[in-house]
Amino acid sequence: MELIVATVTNLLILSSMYILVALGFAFLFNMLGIPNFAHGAIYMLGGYIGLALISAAGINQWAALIIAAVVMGAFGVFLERFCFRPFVGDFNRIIMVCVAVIVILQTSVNIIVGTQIVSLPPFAEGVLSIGLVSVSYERIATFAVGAFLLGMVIWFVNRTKWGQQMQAISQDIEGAFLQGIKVHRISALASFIGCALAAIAGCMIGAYLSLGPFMGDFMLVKVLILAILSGVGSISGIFIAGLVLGALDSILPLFISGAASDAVAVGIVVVLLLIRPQGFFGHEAEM
Amino acid sequence: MIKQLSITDKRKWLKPSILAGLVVIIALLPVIQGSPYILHILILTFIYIIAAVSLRTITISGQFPLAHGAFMGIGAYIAGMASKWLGWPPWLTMPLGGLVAMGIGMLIGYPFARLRALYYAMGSLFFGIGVTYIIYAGGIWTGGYAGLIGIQSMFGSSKVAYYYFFLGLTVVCLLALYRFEFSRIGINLKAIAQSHLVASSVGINEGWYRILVVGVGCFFAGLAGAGYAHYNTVLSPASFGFMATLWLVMYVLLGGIESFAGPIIGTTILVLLPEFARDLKVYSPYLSAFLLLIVVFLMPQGLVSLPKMVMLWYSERKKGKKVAHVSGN
Amino acid sequence: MKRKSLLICSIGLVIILAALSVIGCPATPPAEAKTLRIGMILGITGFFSVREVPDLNQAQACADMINEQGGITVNGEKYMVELVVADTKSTFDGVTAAANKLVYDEGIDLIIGPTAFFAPAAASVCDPEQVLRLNTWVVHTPGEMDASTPYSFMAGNGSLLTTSAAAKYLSANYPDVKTVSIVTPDDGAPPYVIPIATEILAAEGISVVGDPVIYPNETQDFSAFVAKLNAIEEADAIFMQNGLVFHMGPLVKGLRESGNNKPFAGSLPARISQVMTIAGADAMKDVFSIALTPGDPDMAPVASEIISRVTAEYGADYQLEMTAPNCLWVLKEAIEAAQSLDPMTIKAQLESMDEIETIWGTAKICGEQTLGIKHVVASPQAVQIFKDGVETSAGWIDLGFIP
Repeated sequence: MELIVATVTNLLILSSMYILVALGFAFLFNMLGIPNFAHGAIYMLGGYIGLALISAAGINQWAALIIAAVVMGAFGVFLERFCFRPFVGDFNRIIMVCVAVIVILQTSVNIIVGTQIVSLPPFAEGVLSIGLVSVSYERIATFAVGAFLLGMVIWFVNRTKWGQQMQAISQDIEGAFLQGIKVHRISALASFIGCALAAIAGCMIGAYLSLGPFMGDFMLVKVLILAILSGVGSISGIFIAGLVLGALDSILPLFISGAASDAVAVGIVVVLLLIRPQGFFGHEAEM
Repeated sequence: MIKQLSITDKRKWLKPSILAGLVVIIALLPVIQGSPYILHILILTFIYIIAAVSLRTITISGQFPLAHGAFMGIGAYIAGMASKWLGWPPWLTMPLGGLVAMGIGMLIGYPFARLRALYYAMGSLFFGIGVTYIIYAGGIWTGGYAGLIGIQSMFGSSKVAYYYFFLGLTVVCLLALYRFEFSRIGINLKAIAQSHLVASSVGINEGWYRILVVGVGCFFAGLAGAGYAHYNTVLSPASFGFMATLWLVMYVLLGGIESFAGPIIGTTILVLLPEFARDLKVYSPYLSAFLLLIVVFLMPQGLVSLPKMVMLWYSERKKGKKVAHVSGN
Repeated sequence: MKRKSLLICSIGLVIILAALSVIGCPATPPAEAKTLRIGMILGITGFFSVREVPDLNQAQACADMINEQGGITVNGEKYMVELVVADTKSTFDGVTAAANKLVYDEGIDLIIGPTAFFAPAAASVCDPEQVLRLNTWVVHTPGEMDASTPYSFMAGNGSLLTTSAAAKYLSANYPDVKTVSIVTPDDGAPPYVIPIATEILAAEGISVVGDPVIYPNETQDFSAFVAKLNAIEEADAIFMQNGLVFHMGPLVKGLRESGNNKPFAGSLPARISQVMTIAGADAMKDVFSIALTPGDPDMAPVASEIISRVTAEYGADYQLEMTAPNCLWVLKEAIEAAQSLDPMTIKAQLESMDEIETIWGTAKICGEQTLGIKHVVASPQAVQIFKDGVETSAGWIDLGFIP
């Protein structure tokens, strides 16, 4: 019984972790069709910048979180302008640029701080124990931040002018141009938001677990799976996709080995792509 | 094609003699300089040339799969497991590896063929990742994380024997792929890539051709992987994952996707360069990143277009006009 | 395919290959005749570098120490130690390339490394050439350091030794613990190392209960595995077999947060201060690992000297792997005992000795029954706990003779 309760708790929190990390990627991929493979590296760098701000400048961790988000957001604008925009539609070139960015960021961080084990100070202390459930406030904070940001993003995409412009772009980019939408500006904004979200995730996970120069690699696969399951043009789908992946990763390892659970998760994604390429909630895309 | 002579008398003997010189140097390399280390790098280059050219062959049909490293891995592990657990000799396991890779490629090529570019890319990407996960989960049979060891070696520790074997294998495979590309089938494939509607209207069965080319490409990838297994005698799934696929893509794109010789040049440079950059020590990954950026930003058509670009620039400059831009795709 | 382009590209290829022929000559030996070049196959870049770069720097400090004391003396000649490093890039193929480079290009026949499951890739290149190799860290996957690798020695450290030490400490300090559950990473070793661990624990009167909890190497969120461990209620303690501090930290944290306060035996060299960074100070009660504490007064003088040099240069929090320097020291001792630089002579010397001096003190050379070959240097192990807010040494364990 305890195992079931623990598993359900793990499921919810793991899902929220995945959603939190994947939001930024989904923003660029599902909305604009840009697969920002460097997302994992940006997530990692955001965490390290947060740490640097806290330990070097003595800033409160929430403030450091926001500053790191802004910094990585600016980096995202730079990436979009020079690395993504020239190659829209050329999947191979975008992947190669992203891998170059990943290698540069990872190597630089590895050389500077790689050999130290570091972690951000926790965003919340203590453990909450109700009956059979025992969860640390830190994990609850991660869950809360993830849920909050997801809600904000969904509101942004569906209710604001910019969000709706992004939806238009994802449906038909030429039509969007013709409608007078400033596609380049919206792309830059989307990139800013996407990378800022990655940085926030990096700080929160960096506090909950620890920081490492290669922590982005592991997350990248999960993020890709989430984005595919959710589907092009849909942000709301991230929610269900996150739950599905969180469930798979919480429950499967209890029964089969870790590598096998990964294989199953990927297998499901491949099958889904074959049957319904646009994901659970996406629409047919012109790309 | 190689045998055709140039038109002018001046160049009549130039090209064949250069090519002959090339052939002589490659053939006599182990004799000219005896370092087994250089031979090792060249053997790896041969193996990756087969894989890279076979990847490019698939792309002439307009499809760009991102799982080629995984197909090398399938060939390698099938050959390795057959050698270790069944005791089969290399001349049996290598074709087996190629055939299994071909079979799996065609099997998944069938449902993948109708996906559009982005989904095809993502799907093949995930398939490749899935293959490595399956190998990791293979327990004692594949060795999992610890790797597969104890594969029968083909020629013991004599690198010279391996060198000539893989040289011969590469020549045979390249000839086969070249003939395939310029055969009736190859022409049809290019037609499909250009406009599948027009191709269908002249009776070309689009689906069947797409699956066929994937099968051919995967066969050679599997063959290359199987050869690698018998050379290295130890295998790790990490050698055939996403990064391996990405490097193969880089080999093709650096050299130039438009030409047959493109992947050959790209592979040679990208395999040799990191070995000579060992002195960079901790900073060596920067070189790889730099190469990636060069390929992406400066050479849309790959190195093969470099002479063309240089001569164009030179002739335009001679005429005093503004430099014309070689437009990319 | 334009013929002119083919022509020019062919010329380019010819030039490259011609250049290769010239450059490809083996590296010329150093001008000074009295340098002993020892190869190192380690991952300077890539994910493994977090472990290998500190190990390399510690080996370099050890080499400097040896050279300051006059180097290695063989037949009256003094040899200065020079470490020649080949980067593996943390990949299998990189190991093969590094081994090829050292053996064939640099002409080296005494090598330290690689680590763990990377070792078989080096063995396939080094063994046919009869290169003497000392593994830095052994996790006991097949082909890593066993009867099939006659030219390799476990001179650094490894799961066998840390497990022996952890089992001894556990039984001595927690006499109520009679059963343990095992948690271990899936690095290919579990099918081979768990039986060894089970036997070692049984020799101390502790039995293993429940299925071993095996987690993928790259796991970041350990909640599912914490839940599995919690479900093994009959266990009196948790025994973590090998792994990294990135694993131990979240495991300890998760266990304590879920109310599981059983003793946690970390049979791995994860520094308690780093585990504490991840898990929090409140989680560290009844947690120990087989790790090194700088400034430990009970540490052997050679190791203390190396550590003080390294912490002076790289900081007090520097990762203390210390497996490569031990390999180097053992190699030095063996060379001087054999009075020869020939790998096979040194190998025979090592096999004929029952004990040898390591940086940790005297160690027995043993392991024939457990691993199939008497090539294990059973160095003394240090236990580390969290006491009064800091990581403290809980003493040293002399492993004696391991069958």
